[in-house]
Amino acid sequence: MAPREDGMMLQSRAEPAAFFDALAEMHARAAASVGGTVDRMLSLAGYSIRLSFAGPGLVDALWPALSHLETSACRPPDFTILMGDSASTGTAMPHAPWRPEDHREAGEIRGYCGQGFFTVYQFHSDLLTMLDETRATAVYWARNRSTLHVGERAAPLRALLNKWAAGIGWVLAHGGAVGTDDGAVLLAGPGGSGKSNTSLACAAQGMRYLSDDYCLLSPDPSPTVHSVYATGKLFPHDVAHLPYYDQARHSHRPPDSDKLLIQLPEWRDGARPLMMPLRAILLPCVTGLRNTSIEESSPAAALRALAPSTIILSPSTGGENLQRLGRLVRSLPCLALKLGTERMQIPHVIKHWLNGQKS
Amino acid sequence: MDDETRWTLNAPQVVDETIDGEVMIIHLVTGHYYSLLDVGANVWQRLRAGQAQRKIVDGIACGFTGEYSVISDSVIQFLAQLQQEDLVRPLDADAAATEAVIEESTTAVPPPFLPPVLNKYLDMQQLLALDPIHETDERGWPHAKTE
Repeated sequence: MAPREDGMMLQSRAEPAAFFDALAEMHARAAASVGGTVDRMLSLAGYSIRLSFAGPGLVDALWPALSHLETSACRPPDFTILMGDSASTGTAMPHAPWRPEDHREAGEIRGYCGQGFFTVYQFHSDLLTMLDETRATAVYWARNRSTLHVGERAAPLRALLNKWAAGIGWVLAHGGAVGTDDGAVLLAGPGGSGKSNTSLACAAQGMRYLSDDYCLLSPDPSPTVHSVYATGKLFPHDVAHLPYYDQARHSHRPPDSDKLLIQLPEWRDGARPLMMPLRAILLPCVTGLRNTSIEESSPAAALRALAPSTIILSPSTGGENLQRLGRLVRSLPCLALKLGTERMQIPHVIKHWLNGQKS
Repeated sequence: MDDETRWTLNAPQVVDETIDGEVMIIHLVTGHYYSLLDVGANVWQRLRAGQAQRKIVDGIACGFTGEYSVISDSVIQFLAQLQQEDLVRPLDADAAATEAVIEESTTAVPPPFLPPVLNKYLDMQQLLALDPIHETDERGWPHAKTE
């Protein structure tokens, strides 16, 4: 093994390649045992991605969040993800060839990241993801769909999409995004700052909705935001303020979450965009005042709001993503969105600001 | 550490970016992130340019008004703090002494010296689940400990 600059040891390609082969073989065996694969084609930011589920086990759990990206295009996929779970297929995961101490920050596996491979084990979902860039193929395997964390159901494939996005110069960012015909705003801030409430309040009033929590950003040549997930999350008590989502009251609340998982329905009839030009970064904060207002902020404040939670979950792309986010906040107005208690006012304030950018 | 000590960013586990004079530093392993302003950002800029400790102190003493000994003690203490937080590491004495040119302030009256402050934020730690309580079974996979 060759020492790397950070002291981590890189294995030769042989060990990760052999393990990847074992995972791919497991997927094939699993699919055969449940009557074949369930294939879905996505179009994400111009790339075609084939999801090949080993049987229906994970489809119900994960497909709703991605279904708005479905395409009927017949061209060969740019990228294939072999997906499945052990419980529904009766297929055991192969023996993990690494040591317990090789589980690193954010679940990355030492010795199995680098040289075209990227391997992440997400403890909370009991989920393994392994990417082989050379084959443009990844394996996404859960032990049991019932152990998938609500965050994974709401926003599946994050580790993989983050790595893939970094490879094309983009960032899978922790932020909401909404807009009008005049463009979109990115909502950045830590959990509890009001991203989801603001995004979903805007969607309820007919604004374009791209995300409440995670979206793809392409900083160059001009900032653009892309929708990745058709879901949103709300606390049950927030639904009372957003009657548009009243039906969500009856939806199943995952046992590992205080929030309701909401499916945004309108994508199906084309009323939701998949991509929009970005006009500003808004930093929501709850004020307790009645009215909502937009005030000047700074690129540094925007970077503080956006970067840590985006980057810390993806250490292997941390440096390049921080630079890209740095370029993004320098190129856009960065504004504080002072959220008032009159929630129905919030979309109007954002719409008014976007409208004012036309002149 | 001595006057000739130079530091480098503790990459790849530490990343940084400077926007409008404010430095953001993220430690990807601990989950901590930091910001620096004013004198702290100035020290960071010099450190990242490859300046040795003595030159960093002298540069700050020229750019700010204050007692040299106070500035020197304060800057050296700050550099030690950056190292303690695992954000930087000293370069080997025999490492090539390449130094980037930095633009020095040309204000007629230097601003007063205020000790550099390392603002530290801990709110990302919970996202990391750095050390999940798990055991590894015979298959090599971790499992949650059962109560």
